[in-house]
Amino acid sequence: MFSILNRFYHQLGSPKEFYPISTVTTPIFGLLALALFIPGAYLGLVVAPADYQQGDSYRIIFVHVPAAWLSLMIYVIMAVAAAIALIWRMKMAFAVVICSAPIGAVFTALALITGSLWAKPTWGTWWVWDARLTFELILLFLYVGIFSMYHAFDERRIGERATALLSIVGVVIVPIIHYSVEWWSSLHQGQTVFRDGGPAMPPSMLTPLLLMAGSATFFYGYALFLNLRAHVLEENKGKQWVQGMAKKWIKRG
Amino acid sequence: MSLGEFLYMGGHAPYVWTSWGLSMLAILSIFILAKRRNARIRRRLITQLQRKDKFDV
Amino acid sequence: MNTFTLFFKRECQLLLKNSSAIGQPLCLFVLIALLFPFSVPSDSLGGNGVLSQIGGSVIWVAVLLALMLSLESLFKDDLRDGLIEQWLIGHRSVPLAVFAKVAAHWCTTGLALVLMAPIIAVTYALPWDLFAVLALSLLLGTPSILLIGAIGAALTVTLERSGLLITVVTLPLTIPILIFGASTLGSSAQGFSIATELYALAAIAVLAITLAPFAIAAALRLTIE
Repeated sequence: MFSILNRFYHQLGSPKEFYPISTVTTPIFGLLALALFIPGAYLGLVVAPADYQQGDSYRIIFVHVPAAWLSLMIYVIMAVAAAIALIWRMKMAFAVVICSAPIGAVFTALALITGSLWAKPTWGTWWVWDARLTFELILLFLYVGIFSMYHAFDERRIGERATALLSIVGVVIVPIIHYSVEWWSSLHQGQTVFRDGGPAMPPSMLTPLLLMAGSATFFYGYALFLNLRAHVLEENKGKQWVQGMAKKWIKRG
Repeated sequence: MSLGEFLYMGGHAPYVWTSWGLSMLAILSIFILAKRRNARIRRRLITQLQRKDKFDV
Repeated sequence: MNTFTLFFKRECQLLLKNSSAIGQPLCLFVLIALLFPFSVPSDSLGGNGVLSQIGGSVIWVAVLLALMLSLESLFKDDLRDGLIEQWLIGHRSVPLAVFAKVAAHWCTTGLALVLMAPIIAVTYALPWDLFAVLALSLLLGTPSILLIGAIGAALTVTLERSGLLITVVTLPLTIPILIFGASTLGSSAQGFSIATELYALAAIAVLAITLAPFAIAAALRLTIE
């Protein structure tokens, strides 16, 4: 058991080991994302019946909720990776932090925009300063701040460490967003899936929602690994193994 | 539902299709930018290697 | 002499000797706070106008910005003099030392702003009974703002002209403080109890005082070789 973990640690922690593994796993993530998207989108847009109160506008839920879940999940992954990076000085962990930030920012912005587009037909207003929206907006600023901090440093090594610490400090916001709908009486809908007693949603809605959420998660993995590969190549371009690979690319034409 | 009803989305078409459209656009952009980044770094590595080979002769 | 007293005294002496260290944030605060009366239409004078309704919030925002921008110099001079490296390899507790520095910063700059706030509040025709609420909320909120901002200052200490980056990076984390602080005034004006907001501000302050010094020390250790 320990030897397996040890091998896992060395393989994923080192960029050189990571690269060939990712050549195989990256397309798998991409295919899984697509495979879950097709039934999810079909069920959500075509099959699921219109909502009793909201009509067809509720179908935005199938992009809005996955985007929102992902905005929180990516930040948690970033913070955990940051902790691993700082404690065990693992290069790949730093890379995960830096490559996840832009993706997280996009999903957060998407959650806010699709939420706004859903709010207009439902609540009659594009925006309202209630707890959940406000804190999701703060999350967007956090992502942008992390991104800005990394690029402000000339020396990458210090930049990635500062960015990692910043991600950990910011993680306190995530539980606040999640619980904000309980703590403050909010216009935003309360928890319908992640609550005690199970989801309060009919299967016709829940199934496409979970499919889309799964698809989004695999897409994050896909995008992350694509960016990790580029990041690893950029950071290690002088190294033997990268040069060796480049020679092979030249030979292949 | 029919194609017409599908596109019309019960009157909420602009909201629903803008949301889904922007989401797909975002996904596509992330994908394309990542692919281009990879292609760029590979090109750079190859040209650097070719330049080095020229001098090493 | 124990670590806290040593660093606290030294920091206070440095801040009081250099008049612009406290003067600039104070001036910035006054300038920001006085921009709104210029831009709000003049028929809102008096007790029920727009100005008196937003006065508390404007003052809170101005305090927040002035404090954020005052943090840039917190560690810069010590870095330049090579002192931070000495702290990191020395035997004194770094978290305690940085806590003392931020405490000194608060006792000078922070308190100066808290004392200036009521004077500005007069120009906003803020109701008199809200003055105590304003002062109390600022007193509870400003230490946390400084402590959280100091984390940003420590992370960016090696960068040139980091003032704006500190603000961009730590402002999101201080927004909850702003929300609770400013809402004490709104709730109070409507006659509601402000106990929740004050408890929340106090809780954030306690968390900041206990945890931030360690984060600040870790940030210094990470960014300075």
